[in-house]
Amino acid sequence: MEEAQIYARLDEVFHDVFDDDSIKVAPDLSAKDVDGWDSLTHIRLILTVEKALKIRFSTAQVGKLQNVGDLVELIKSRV
Amino acid sequence: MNSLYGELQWLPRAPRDFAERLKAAGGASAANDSSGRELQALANHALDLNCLMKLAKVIEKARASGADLHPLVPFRLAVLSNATVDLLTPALLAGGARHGIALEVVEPSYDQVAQEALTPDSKVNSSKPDTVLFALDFRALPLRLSLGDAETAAATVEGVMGYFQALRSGIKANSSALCIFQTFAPPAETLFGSLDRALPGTMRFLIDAVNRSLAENALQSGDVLLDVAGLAETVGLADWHNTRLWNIAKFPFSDQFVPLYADHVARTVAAIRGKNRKVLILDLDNTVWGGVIGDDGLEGIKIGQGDATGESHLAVQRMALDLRQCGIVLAVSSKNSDKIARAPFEKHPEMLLKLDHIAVFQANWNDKATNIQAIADELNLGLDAMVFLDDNPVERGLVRQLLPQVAVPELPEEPAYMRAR
Repeated sequence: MEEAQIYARLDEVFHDVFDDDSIKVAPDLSAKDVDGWDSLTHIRLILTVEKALKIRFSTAQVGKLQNVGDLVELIKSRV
Repeated sequence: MNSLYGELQWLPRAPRDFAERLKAAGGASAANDSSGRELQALANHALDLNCLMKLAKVIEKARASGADLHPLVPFRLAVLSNATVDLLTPALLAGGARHGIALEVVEPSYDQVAQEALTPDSKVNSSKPDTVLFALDFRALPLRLSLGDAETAAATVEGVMGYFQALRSGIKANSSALCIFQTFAPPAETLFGSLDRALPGTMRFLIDAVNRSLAENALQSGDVLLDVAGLAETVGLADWHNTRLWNIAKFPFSDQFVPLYADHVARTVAAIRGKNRKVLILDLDNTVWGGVIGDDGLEGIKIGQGDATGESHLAVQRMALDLRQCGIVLAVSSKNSDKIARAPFEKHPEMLLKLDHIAVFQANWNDKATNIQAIADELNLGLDAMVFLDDNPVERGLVRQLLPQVAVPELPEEPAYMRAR
């Protein structure tokens, strides 16, 4: 899957999970930048990404994610 | 994974304009217009976790601001669990709306079950809930494996029941809340295969015994039983459990069954408020028999007779009769002339349903919504007591639109799957 495609899909996912169409997904976007991105929402986010892209992350991989850029790299390796 | 339960396939798919309608409902609440009916209508769709969250936000905002949520009935539910319930709460709010309840969920801090139940001024006891749900999973149980040792096993089970008794007493001493206890879904894997069921003191044996005790107690104690073990069994233990999610965030079961679980809790709460459905209204053609009586005649319609389609429809009839044994009232709403519609009941040798099983028989050329209202009036029951079964998606859509309080399950094209809905 191309990086541009991944970012496009993540845009949709973020809008859905955070109920906020104004979010712009970028590599350095992280929890501190988005209202309501707490640990529970983070899990909902991961589950939604997995479902949308039909992939599965490992527990260890999820734990290491610091920002959207990391997530995109992880997705690239799984798709 | 059987998607009937994961995706709540008896509910229609979310409408395309769900987001707009939700926004409008939120706006209505803010402007002090009643939004209860619309919120119930929106909740009456198969929604994923993210949609449930959005719907729950609107419901919670309306409820907290004191907005008019009629005809939804207010209900305060405290949820005590050894696991993380945060994902559950939005699904519970949406499920509540679906079943006519404006739910308020009291959620104390994580894993404080005993403290909350036993401390008089705990968050739960101070909130004076209508009902306390002990949403415990098997990891909360003080279980001690004692392989082959029946005596110790019995003592272990007694210990567990004693623990529940203490929790219940704590709640009863501090509020008049009803208690809902859940049965336990055992882990999907066994240690010794079939011996796990037979040998006393194994995990499965102990959990089976606890579940049995809970079921027996429920009838006497006045507590309400929520059979989570049965739910997990229905969808399959291997799919129900999700060890990864427990390890990451102490989720008690797979996120894919949160909507299903919440729906069952909501049904239980609605039943506590007397809002359980009491009448099953049956369409006839292609629902109770295969084919159209007006066109195919008595010889042409399919009921049983070893025919695959016929057997599926016979199963629907059998289910209707079983429900009737439990006190559900049966009615008929069919677009046929009265005489033609009655013929199979009177003359077809394979019909299980007979005319005297049917309390109200409406066969005419009126629209179904009018007939359903007439049935409700004749039985002197509200529309929210009705369930309407019809194979025709157009008829279903019309009734849902005109009479949103009537439950209209989605039916698959394949008659074999109708009974499950």
